Amino acid sequence: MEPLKHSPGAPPAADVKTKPELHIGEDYASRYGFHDAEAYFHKGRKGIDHEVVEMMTRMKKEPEWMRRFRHESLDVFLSKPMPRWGDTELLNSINFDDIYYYVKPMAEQGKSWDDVPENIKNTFERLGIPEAERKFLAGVSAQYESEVVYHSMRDDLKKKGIIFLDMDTALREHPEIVQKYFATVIPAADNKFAALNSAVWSGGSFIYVPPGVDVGIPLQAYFRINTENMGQFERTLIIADKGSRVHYIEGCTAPVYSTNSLHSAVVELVALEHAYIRYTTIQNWSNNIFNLVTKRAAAYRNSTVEWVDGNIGSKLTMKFPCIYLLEEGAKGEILSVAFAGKGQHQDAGAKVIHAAPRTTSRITSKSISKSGGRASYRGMVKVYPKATDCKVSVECDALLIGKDSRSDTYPTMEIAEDNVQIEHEARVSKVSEEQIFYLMSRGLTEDEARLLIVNGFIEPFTKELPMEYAVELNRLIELEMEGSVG
Amino acid sequence: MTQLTVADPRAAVENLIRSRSEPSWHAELRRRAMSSFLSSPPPDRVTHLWRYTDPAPFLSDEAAAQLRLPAETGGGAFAGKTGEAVAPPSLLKDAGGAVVWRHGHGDGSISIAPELEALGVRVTDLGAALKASPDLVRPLLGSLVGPDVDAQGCGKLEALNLALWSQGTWIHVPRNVRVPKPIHLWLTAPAGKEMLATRLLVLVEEGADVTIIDECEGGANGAVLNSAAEIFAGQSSRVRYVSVQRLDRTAAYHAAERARVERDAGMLTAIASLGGGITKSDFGSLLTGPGADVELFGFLLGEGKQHFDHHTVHDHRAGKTRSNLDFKVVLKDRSRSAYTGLIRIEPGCPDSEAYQENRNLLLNDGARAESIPELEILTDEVKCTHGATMGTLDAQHLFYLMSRGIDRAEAIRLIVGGFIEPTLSRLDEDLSARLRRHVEESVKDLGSPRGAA
Repeated sequence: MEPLKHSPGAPPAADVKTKPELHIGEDYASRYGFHDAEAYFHKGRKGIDHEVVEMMTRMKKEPEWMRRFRHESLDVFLSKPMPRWGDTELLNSINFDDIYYYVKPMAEQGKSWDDVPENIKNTFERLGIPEAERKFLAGVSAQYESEVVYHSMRDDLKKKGIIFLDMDTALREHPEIVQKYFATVIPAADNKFAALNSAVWSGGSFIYVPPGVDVGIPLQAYFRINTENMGQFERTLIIADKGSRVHYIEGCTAPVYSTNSLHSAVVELVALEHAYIRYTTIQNWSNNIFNLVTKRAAAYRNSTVEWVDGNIGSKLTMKFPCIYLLEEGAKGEILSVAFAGKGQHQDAGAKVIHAAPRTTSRITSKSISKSGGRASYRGMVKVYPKATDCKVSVECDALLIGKDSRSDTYPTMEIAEDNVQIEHEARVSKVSEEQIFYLMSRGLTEDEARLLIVNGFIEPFTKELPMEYAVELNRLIELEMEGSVG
Repeated sequence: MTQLTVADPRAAVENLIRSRSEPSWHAELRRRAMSSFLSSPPPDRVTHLWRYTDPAPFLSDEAAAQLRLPAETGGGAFAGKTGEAVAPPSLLKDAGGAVVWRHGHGDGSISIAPELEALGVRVTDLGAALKASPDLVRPLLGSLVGPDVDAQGCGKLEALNLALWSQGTWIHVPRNVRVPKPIHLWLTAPAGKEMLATRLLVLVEEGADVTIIDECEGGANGAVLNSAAEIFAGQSSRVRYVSVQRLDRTAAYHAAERARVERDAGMLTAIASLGGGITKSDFGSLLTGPGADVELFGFLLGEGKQHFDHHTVHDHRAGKTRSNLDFKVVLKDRSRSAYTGLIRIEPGCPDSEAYQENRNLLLNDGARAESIPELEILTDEVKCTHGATMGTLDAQHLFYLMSRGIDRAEAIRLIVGGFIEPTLSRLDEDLSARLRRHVEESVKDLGSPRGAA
């Protein structure tokens, strides 16, 4: 075990501006003549090109199909223009050459808690992971920098045949099932950031639940960014086989750094016939992080997919959890909360695609903009021809606190079928003076009154969370709301 | 009538300026608009304003190449003469107001009730007003629908209008004058693959009250109509602007309308979109003074392969302002509608209220509707809601009516009528009666076997 040491004097990067000609399958070592891969990555280097991707895939000893996939994805990333919609000003401020795309924290994954390096351990201790494990949690895979370093899983889950691994291990141990589903829900060419993730992904969770199995307890993973200017590109794939049920929880916090970091994950869910997947996220990246995430689920006959998505941190989040309702009777629900404080833009939303008859979806979005923060709901509901008897309900509530705060609602509904029922509603308001007056007349201070109102506003969200997450979220909101008066 | 081939669009502008002996300030405005038109990119399909509609039909060289200009220099044929019975007979009941009737590229007339003229109300050709009332016209013309095109190419067709408009109307209602009957603008667009650019400029002074009905029809064989309207509603004024579009199913129609609504003024915009092959419109109000109150009611009935793309903007630029929007869409056959509506409340506009509702009724599969009701709220002390619904005919309603012996087609007509009626009933009685007639005519063959249209 040797912990990673970052040398500030990283080896000079190859010219990343000129895109080298790529011939997949040719020998990269002789083409670029680079040195020992281990040493190379232990020092780290900024920027992205085919050399970095080749090194990464060699380090990980990946199969040929993944190696090709990464290189092809990089070509897509390099050829796609930046999005021309959303907060283009912030997006264009990302300097892709100033980011670490892969940092390996340690040579081997920790098998037991004792093997985990002390500094990493301390971070996790503060986040209460061992405690959580002691309580009732099934498996904990804590991602530190780019590689999963600690992973354990309760025996009874193993006995049920549930696979819960970090993505890299899953690719080694279950290559056939990974290859079958990997990038089928979100192809590399889906968008520029999904392409980037496809090229340089590292870590993330892989879950397979066999037919008819109910996982019973939530599976959890924590992610942390701990290296300045480090990109985090985790890749998560969850497959719930016929009639199975699983709830996955992902939570993020990160220390504050002075320069911008990029987090660009790809999360794919596959809910087969009659399966149920709930995916819960509490995102609290530090306020210098770009959080550009692609999340999508494929829901088959009579299955249910639920995204529960909380966005509190980051400088700019662009995240629109999506559900493709592919077969009859599939159900989708997206419940989200965004909290935008000073200097933050939460560009969050939801997408539901109805591609089959008798599919239903519900989107509930709550946003709070405070002290000049900007929260946007950007949504899309699409109903394809012949997707008859669909029901869609969209509800967006926004709360504005402070004169300079901003709330946007950009819902899009594209409907190509007559036999559907679609309802969309949005409301924007401030905390009402009457409510505050009432609570203050009952002895609360103004701060307490506001906090109570905000907590009440997002209650439909918090009540869907496991208790310890609800407590954590309430504490985060309390911190965010401190001194909001005046 | 002279025909002008626009091999060189700049020359077209120069020809217009020369043949109409326009004042130099307006000539400059035209040139500036043409420059920004020529130097700007085509509208970017990524911006949602053009996401659902191809701008090509409005920009086609074929249409521009056959741009025609009236031989008459501005004004001559349109000098305000009273009582000339050249207007279509259906308009005569509006006597007491004013009628502007334009046919094709140059024919037409303007008639205005003498009592209105005596009160100082002016309804004249805009070309004549450039010279007759430059002090009033110059600061306003092009200030709301102007020559500038943004980096995404939005505003390109508006710039084209300013550069090449050939038929314009100027309406001026002086302070505290109440115009008892509507001012009716009636355009029969020319037939054939030609482009016509029309422009309306309305100044309603403080405390005045007026209703304007802007109606267009015609445009057979693939005409392109590019219209622009700028309306200035002064303090405490009341303005009702009704746009009725009944163009031929082969016509392409681009409309841009902006109103500036000042303190305590009330502006009502009603839109009835019935005709046209491709319709792209952008209606909006800037609420610039406290107490400004804006209502917009609109509906469209689409059938066959009609394509409608409506955009609305309510931009609250002052506190204590209110806006309310209700837009209804009925689609049949393979028709398509995209509705995008923006409510924006600028920073520092407390106590504003904004409401927006968009309902879509799809009568059969094959029809498609897009709805994007947007909110951008930059002030915290506001009340804003919007809602959108999409759905089909309620089978229970249909069954109920049919069980009462009403045949299916008639039942559908009744349901569609009932869908639109709440919108109509919120308008003045004479307006709603007029629009109801158009609706009745449009739903006449609703419920007929699919593909009949």
